[in-house]
Amino acid sequence: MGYFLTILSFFFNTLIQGVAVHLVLSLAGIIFLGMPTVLKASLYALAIAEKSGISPEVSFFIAILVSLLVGLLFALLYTRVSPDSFAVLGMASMLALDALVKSMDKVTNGVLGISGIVRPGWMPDLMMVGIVSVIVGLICLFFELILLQTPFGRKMRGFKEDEITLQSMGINTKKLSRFVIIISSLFLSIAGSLFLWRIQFLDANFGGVPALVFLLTLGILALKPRIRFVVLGSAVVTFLPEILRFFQFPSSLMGYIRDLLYALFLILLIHQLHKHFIPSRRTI
Amino acid sequence: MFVLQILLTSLVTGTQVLLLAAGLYLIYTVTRTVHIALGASTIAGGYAYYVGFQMGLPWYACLAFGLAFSALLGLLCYFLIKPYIQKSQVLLALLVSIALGVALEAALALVFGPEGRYLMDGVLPVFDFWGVRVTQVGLYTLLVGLFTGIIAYIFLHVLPLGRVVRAIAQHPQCASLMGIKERRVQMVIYIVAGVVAGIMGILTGLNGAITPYAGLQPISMAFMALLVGGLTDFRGVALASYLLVLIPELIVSGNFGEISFSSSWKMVFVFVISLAVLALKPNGIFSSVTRKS
Repeated sequence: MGYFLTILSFFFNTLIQGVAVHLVLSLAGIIFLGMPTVLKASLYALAIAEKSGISPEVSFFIAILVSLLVGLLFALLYTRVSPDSFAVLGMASMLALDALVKSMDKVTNGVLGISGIVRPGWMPDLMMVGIVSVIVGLICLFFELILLQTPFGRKMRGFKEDEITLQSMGINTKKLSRFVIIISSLFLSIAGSLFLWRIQFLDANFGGVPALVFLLTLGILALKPRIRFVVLGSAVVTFLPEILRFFQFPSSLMGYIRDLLYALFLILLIHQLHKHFIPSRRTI
Repeated sequence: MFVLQILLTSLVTGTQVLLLAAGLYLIYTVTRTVHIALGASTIAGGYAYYVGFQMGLPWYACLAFGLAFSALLGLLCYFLIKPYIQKSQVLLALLVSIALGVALEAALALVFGPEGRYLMDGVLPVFDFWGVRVTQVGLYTLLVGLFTGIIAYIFLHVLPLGRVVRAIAQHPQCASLMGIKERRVQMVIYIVAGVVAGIMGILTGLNGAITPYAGLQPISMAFMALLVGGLTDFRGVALASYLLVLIPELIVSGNFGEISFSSSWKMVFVFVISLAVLALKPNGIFSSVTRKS
């Protein structure tokens, strides 16, 4: 039962992250590699707020606020620099944040991470964590489904197709891209908070390049602007490492094998799906 | 004397960053792609030297083995990224490069374990120049940097192949029309960048221990230098490589009363400085304002 609940929570947690990645990468076509930074910043905000005696619910809102702030910074950066510079700066921000949390050990507990994170009173056990993850996951998915039908959703897809056409239609593409990055940060923060409440421990090494590869794999799998691909992508990245359970690998190697598996899978995916990634001319 | 020591240390580290940034610059110039996996290639070169060292080979054989492996890795990276270069899908090339880097690091961790490995026995020799100290490997780094700089200058500005590289950087299609085999030049550049990264990895390993994930920080520094200096301006890249090392070094070594910073803050300062420069000069420190008509 415990294993089933863990997998269920993980799947719906991945689904929320999938919505975030889908919005920014697959729909708007923004290569936002600062996603693990947003995730890590919000996780630390939640953990530090809780450790300073603030209730879990209020800490959650603080985490949301921090992620929106970090998202806003990235959004401003996106409109200033070229897409490849933005991608590289996003990656570099992960290292900068990693160095920051490990340096400010009085606040963040340094390399030891933060343990003993308290769940809200209405979420006392894994069963409730699972139920809340399912409900929140479905709400996020429904939100994206509605968003895709709205004029804003169509503008977002149009942004990936041709930014200049959108500009000539009088649409403020800078505002649009900023909004997509900020809203994606919001979803990442929600997923991060649920994740933290589930495992109740914040590892200082969380949110590095392996987390980025995980999110990118999810984004590439959910490449098409359809909700079902988000669900499918989340299912694949959730159950892919479960294959490793059939092999008797030492537990100390599992992390490296998982990273290797995700990275090779991502290379294979891009190789197979790259024709669908960049919009091409077609008749409608 | 203290300031001189900081300057010399920054000069050595800045040269390491510059060597990597030079590889990235060359690749970006001829393919317009950002090759993150070069960081992992750096460390892989160091590990190849380590394998030779463990087999009891003399240092020159270890060096040759390390560089040959780095060249091979450069070639492999090129063949994996080639389809996206040909279709100008630079962001997909970046994603593949990231995944390749992670795969390489995870593979190194699986084979050699996460603990540090040393590429030499005994104590590292240190030279003392009137109170300013530099390790033997630090001195080698400076010499390699100087030597590579001279070779790069001769290659780019004197040899015919350098003109070819500059022609591709200027206008790839036009260069192809002139009979230049663009793909072959791109492949050679990937191999050269891989070898330079391998040299860097070996020097890093000789100066201390190498770990599978040690390549990410230097490559990020090199990328910041590339962005801050300007993607197409090598003068800017060279200056940015040294400044991005020197300024954080001065800040963490400085005395600001009650406030002090440990060396782990360096990466934070590098990022903040890069952001500040890019906010003011998005196209690099030497870029001039251009207008669109």
